[in-house]
Order: sequence, then C-alpha cells, then structure tokens
Amino acid sequence: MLSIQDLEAGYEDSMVIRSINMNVEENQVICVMGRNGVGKTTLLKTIIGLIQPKNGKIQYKSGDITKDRPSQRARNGSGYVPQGREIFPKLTVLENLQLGLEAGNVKTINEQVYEYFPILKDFAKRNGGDLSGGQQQQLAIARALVSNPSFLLLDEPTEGIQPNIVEEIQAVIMDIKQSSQTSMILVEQNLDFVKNVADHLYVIDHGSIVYSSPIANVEDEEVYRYLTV
Amino acid sequence: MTEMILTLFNGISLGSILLLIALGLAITFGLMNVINMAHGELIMVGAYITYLVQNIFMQYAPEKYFDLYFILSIPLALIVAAGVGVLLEVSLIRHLYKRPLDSLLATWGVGLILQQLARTIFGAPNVGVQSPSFLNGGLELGSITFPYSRIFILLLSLICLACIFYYFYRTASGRRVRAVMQNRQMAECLGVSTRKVDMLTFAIGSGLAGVAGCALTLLGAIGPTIGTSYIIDAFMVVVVGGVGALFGAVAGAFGIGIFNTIFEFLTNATLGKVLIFILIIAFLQWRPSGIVINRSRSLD
Repeated sequence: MLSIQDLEAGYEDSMVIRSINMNVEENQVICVMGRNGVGKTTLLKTIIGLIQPKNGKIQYKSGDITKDRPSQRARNGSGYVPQGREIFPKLTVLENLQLGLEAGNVKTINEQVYEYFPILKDFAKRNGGDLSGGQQQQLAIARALVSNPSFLLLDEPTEGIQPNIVEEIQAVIMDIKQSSQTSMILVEQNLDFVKNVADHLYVIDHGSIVYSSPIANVEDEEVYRYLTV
Repeated sequence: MTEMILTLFNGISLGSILLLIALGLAITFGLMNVINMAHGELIMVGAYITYLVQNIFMQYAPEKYFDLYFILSIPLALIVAAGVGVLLEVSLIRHLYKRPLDSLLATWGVGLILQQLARTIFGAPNVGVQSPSFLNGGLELGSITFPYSRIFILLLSLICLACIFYYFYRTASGRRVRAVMQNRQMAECLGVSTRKVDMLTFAIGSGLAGVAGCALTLLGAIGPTIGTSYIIDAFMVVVVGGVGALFGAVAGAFGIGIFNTIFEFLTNATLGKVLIFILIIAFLQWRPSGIVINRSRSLD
C-alpha cells in the first residue's frame, strides 16, 4: 500500500533521513522506534508531505505521491496525528472534528469516534486550546479518524499523557487495527505496547533503518541496544 | 449638550469608516501576516468604480433611475476590488509569504502602480461623485441634524461586520479560513487546500476595501491618493485592535474614531491627530499586542 524507496530528507542543509526503504501492506501496523533526534518525526512529516525529500520516492496505492501536497495526500486517505497534537486552539472541539472531514471521504462525523472518546461529545463547544494535554491528544486522534482514512500516521500519540489515558489510547489503536481496514505507521517508545499492536518493527538510528523484524521474531535485547544512549 | 451628542455621533461615524477600511486589512494581515501596502489602493479602486458607474448612469440612464447607480456600485466595487486582490495574491503575494519585508516593499510598489494607473485613466485631480438623492439631508432630532450619508455608512459597516462574522463563524468555508489562520500546516494535512483559502481570503479582504471605497465617495471628492490617506489609519486600527482579531478591529476602530473626534473637538484637526497618535503609542506600550491578544500554543 505504501512504499518508500531510498528516501533522503531533512531541513535546509542538514540531511536527517538517509536512504530509508520501507513497505507497509494493507491492514498492516508498522511501528517505528528510535532515540530522540534520529529522524522518526522527519520520516512521518515526509510521508504526509510537509517535507519534500531530496531524493527517493514515495508510492501510495500504486501512485507516485512524492510531489503531492499534504492536502492531496489527505484527500487520498492519509490521516496524520502529529507530535504535539496541533489542534486548532480557537476552534471548538466540534469544529476541530469537522475540520477532519475536509479530507472529503465522508460528510458527517463517524459516531465511532465518540464511542472511543466520550469526552469529545461533552466538550463539543469548548475551545480546543482549553483542553488538557490528554484531552487534546484524544481530539487529535479523533480528528484524524473522522474521515475514515485508509492510512494513519501517528507520531508518539502517548507522549506526555497521563497513564490512564495512555491505556485508553492504546486500546483505541488496538481496536482500529482489529475492526477497520486502516494501515498504520506508529512511532512509539514503549516496546511492550509495540509488541501488542504492531505487525512489523523498524528501529531507526542516525536516519537509517538499523533493525527490521516481524513482531513475532523481535529480540528485545537487540532493540534496547539501539534505544539506549 | 448638543455639542456632546454631535461629537459622539461624529466619533461613531468616524469609527464606522475606520472599521470599513480596516476590516479587510484585519483579515489579510491577520491571516497571512502579509503587510499589504496596496490595501489603500484597493479602496481607491472601489471609489473609482463608483465614479465610473455614476458616469455611465449619467450618460445612459434616465434621470429617475440615477440614484440606483449607488446601489449597483456597492456590489460592483466589491467584485472588482476582490478581483484585483486575487490577481495580486496569485501573481505576487503568494511568493512572499515567508518574507514580510519584501512583501511590504513589493505591495507598496503595486500601490504606486495602481495610483499611476488611476491618474492615467481618470486624470490626476480629484473627481466628485454626486451622492444619490435619498442620502442627501439628514435626520433632524430637535436641533441636531444627523446626516443620512453618515448614518448609511454606519449601517453599511455594521452589515459588513455581521456578514463577516456569519461567514467566519457559521460556515464551513469560514471555518477553514480560521483553521488556516491558526495552524496552516495542520490544516493542510487535514485536506484543506491552503492555496484556495489564501486566494479566497485575500479576495474577501480586498472586496471589503472596495466597499469602503464606495462608501467614501459619500464623504467628499476622490482621487488617486485617497488610498495613501487612509492606509495609515487602517493599519493603526489593526495594530491597536490586535492582529487577526475581528472583535479587536471593531474595538480599535470605534475607540480611535471616538477619541480622535473628541481630541479634535477639544483642540483642532491637526492637534487632534497628534494627540490620537500619542494615545495609540502609549496604549501600545502598555499592551503591545493590541486590545485582543492572540494567545496560541503554537510558536511562529
């Protein structure tokens, strides 16, 4: 479904991602792990189109999307939950969700997101900027889900969130994997959660993939070797 | 007593004029952080369109229909000014989003070009536009006369404000604009075509300038330089009101309008202007972001 070939990308003159190759099949959940600063967020930003790669190709559903704008990719079925939530602070919760519909695939908000995150219904009229971090994270995920994306990019969705909401979010991600046809690339720091939800694991270091394995064959010590400073 | 009421009315009237002029600028400045020095010339475009329509009616329309020229001018001024604005956005401004100083210079240049174009087509001297007869005279309450033209401008500015408010807060298109204003990248990632939003927003801001120009023909002669007269006032309102805030523009416009008129009344026209500038400077020292502060969690 998504194929990344020889990707090189970065900011201004510094290359952060050097030659990454990656494949995501239909309904597959890929996890990407790595220390801070290795290029995980840069990778996701390049896939959604916020960064133009210096080299390499991104193919999605057998079309070359390397030159597409992010809005085109969103309308093609990509959903993005960035690090830092990035919700619209002066739009209400409901308006934030309605923005999620801009991708154009559906006309009304999928009731499923309210089942995942009931507080969004209670806070419908509250400004996004007035929510707590955990609530904003739930809103950010719900906003990406309302348009029924076929491909979801999640950048550390549980970062800085209180433990009980982390559990809720992890349960939602598990449920998405099991009940819908959505493929995912999930950037995560928690290996236990990764082993529960992912089909394949990549570890990135210094902008390249240093470890790649189907989940069943993951060796914890190998992974931790790359994750420790 | 009557002097107070009249002064207050004049202050509100001036405020409504400032609001009309600055509303479009608040939108473009607030959305794209683009300093459009050609905004004054977009006002000029609206004024000249009104002049043109008046002339056409004078030449070709039967006399009893003459007053209708003004009703027609308002939407026409809006459309033409919006068109010029879109042209400006697509050809120039779009390339200068990350470069505020360049956009200031470039739009200043465009303003000069438009002024010269007006001089070439219409001549350098000011031209008069005859107000429609239904706006002559005034409302007489006791010993005070409130000119109909000023009442009309006040109503027009409130109607424009209401339309803008409705658009931004009750329509999907307006919601998109607000999203792009608050977080451009995230809006793009959700599927919003920020290019289209930029064009549309610039069109709206420019169209409002056109309407302002049309209204200004009621107050006096118009010429190629009316833009430069009002651009400073427009920026003052936007900066005092708080960039990107509609409510702030309203508060700024009426605040400046009323205080300016009071200062003028207490001293004279020139000193009044000086005093209002001093007041604005003092205000900005106390509250640099303006009346309405844009507290967002994202860094620019």
